Amino acid sequence: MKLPVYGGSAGHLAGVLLCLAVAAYAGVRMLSSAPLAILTWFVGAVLLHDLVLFPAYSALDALVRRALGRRRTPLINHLRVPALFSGLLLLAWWPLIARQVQARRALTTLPDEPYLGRWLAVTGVLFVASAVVYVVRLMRRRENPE
Amino acid sequence: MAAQTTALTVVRRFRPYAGTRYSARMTLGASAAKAWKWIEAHPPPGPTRRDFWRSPLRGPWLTGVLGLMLLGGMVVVFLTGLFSYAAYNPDLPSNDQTPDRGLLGFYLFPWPASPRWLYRVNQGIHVTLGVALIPLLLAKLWSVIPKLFDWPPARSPAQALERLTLFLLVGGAIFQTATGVLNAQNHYVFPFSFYQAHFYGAWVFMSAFVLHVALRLRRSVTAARSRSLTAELRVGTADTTPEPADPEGLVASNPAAPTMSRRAFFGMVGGACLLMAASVAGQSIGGRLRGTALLGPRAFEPTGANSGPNGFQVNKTAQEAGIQEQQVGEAWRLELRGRTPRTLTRQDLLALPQHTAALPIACVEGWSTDDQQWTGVRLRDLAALADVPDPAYVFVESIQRNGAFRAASLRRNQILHGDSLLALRVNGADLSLDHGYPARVIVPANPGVHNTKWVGRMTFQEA
Repeated sequence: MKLPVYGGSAGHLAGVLLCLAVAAYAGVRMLSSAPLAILTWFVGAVLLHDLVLFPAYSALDALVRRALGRRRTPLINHLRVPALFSGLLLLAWWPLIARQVQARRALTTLPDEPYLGRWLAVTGVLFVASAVVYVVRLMRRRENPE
Repeated sequence: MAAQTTALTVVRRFRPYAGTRYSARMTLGASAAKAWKWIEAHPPPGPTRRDFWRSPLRGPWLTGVLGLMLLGGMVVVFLTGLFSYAAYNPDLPSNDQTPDRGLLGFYLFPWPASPRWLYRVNQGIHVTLGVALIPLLLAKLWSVIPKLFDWPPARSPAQALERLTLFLLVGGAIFQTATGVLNAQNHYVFPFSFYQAHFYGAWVFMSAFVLHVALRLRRSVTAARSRSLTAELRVGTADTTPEPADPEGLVASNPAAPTMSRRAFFGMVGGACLLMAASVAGQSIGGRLRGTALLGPRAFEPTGANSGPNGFQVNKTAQEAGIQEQQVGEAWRLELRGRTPRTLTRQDLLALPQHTAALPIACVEGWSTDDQQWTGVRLRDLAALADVPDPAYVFVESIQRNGAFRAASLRRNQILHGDSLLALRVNGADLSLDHGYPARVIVPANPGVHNTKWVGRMTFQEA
């Protein structure tokens, strides 16, 4: 039963108000120091995904699809999967891979030089494995032409 | 004047209210409604148009299944996060990084001192699962992103407010993940306190999450039930068809040919989740699996001064903490405060009855060490020495100059536990300087930063 003007049920309104109340209670405390920085990071988080990351990977995907064209045994997923896996690892562990953590030695005594090599090695293994699966697919297609 | 009256009479044949005040208001209202309808029917070129979104995989079933998977994961991450805060015993002196928590601390309870691996498992799950959910979160966002560009942006106040809460939901999820992952690799690029931002951010996220689930759960379950998952997993790319058109507008109105089946989509997302989990799980599980966490921040064992018996993870070196050689040499004293204050040298401590306990160190960042053999004086023996055999808590202070955890309090149950020690030796050798020489606290199930290193003073508070 929708409320006039509001456009939703009374339960909907109650739920939204409760959510905003709890968020405001926590938000006020969250913003009690460095409010501008936290707001920038929070809003930035959404913008970075919706307006940077998503359009970037969508556009890249569309580009590759167009470049590959139509094939009897599609190649696109054999590029998508290793690229996604490698990209996610890079996204999460970028500071270590790119040696950005200044305080690392002082805090942990551990090195960060090996991370780039490790990530490249993992990426290599992923693409090689994907290529192997593709070749197997191609061979199967050749043996059983439909 | 006469000509104007004639003109008005003629016009009034066709538009009865022309020229009156009522007409002006009606025309304005009618024009606005007409303009709104036109705007609604004519989204600008680009993502606000339904036919912009071409993937044939999108639809309520896919979103429903992804959402239900994410639901379970997020609840576990949130609960382990709440437990992590409880593990810090924030009601005791100097333990609370968010002292203005107010009502948000309603659930707090005294953190147990056993089993010894409690914090290790809790935090390992929290961080490993949080990292593992990144691909699932991105997949869910991918499946609903056409809704971001819904046209018109808000049809009613209800919709506008709901979109605001969705902003808190998405922003919260990404903010929590980003701050958590950055903190886990010690990359403190954010100009604010991690504990404050991450604790309150969790509540901002959870408030929006609870509302989102309350509003969408029934719809998601119905959608997820609309086709069998196992049946869908048998459908190849060639046979993949779009879902039936839905009122929400998720299903593409002009779908392209499928390049990937839903089975492949789930395989890809699931595989990514497993890979992300594997990139860190080893540094929490430890043992032989530590090396499998190839990209984990704690994928290596320390070397040099911290090798052999002291060869396990270090959190903050003595140099970073501002410890000077003369502070920990012959001049070091342990000051006990209670009903009977005492000052002890390291020799005095070694002369007391020693106890050995196998205990791990587990950090809030999600990594942990395996059980190490710690030897030292039981905390309850020190309490008895200070003439406070039944303490409410002990306030432990380090001699380190820098660090947010120079001091921490331990609760009665932690002090009285038989394996809680002021450790002097580990794995049969003296503590290395980085591991807290001459003495450090080690308590089962304790967050790592509360196992105070380079202890200088312990103040026992009577119950």
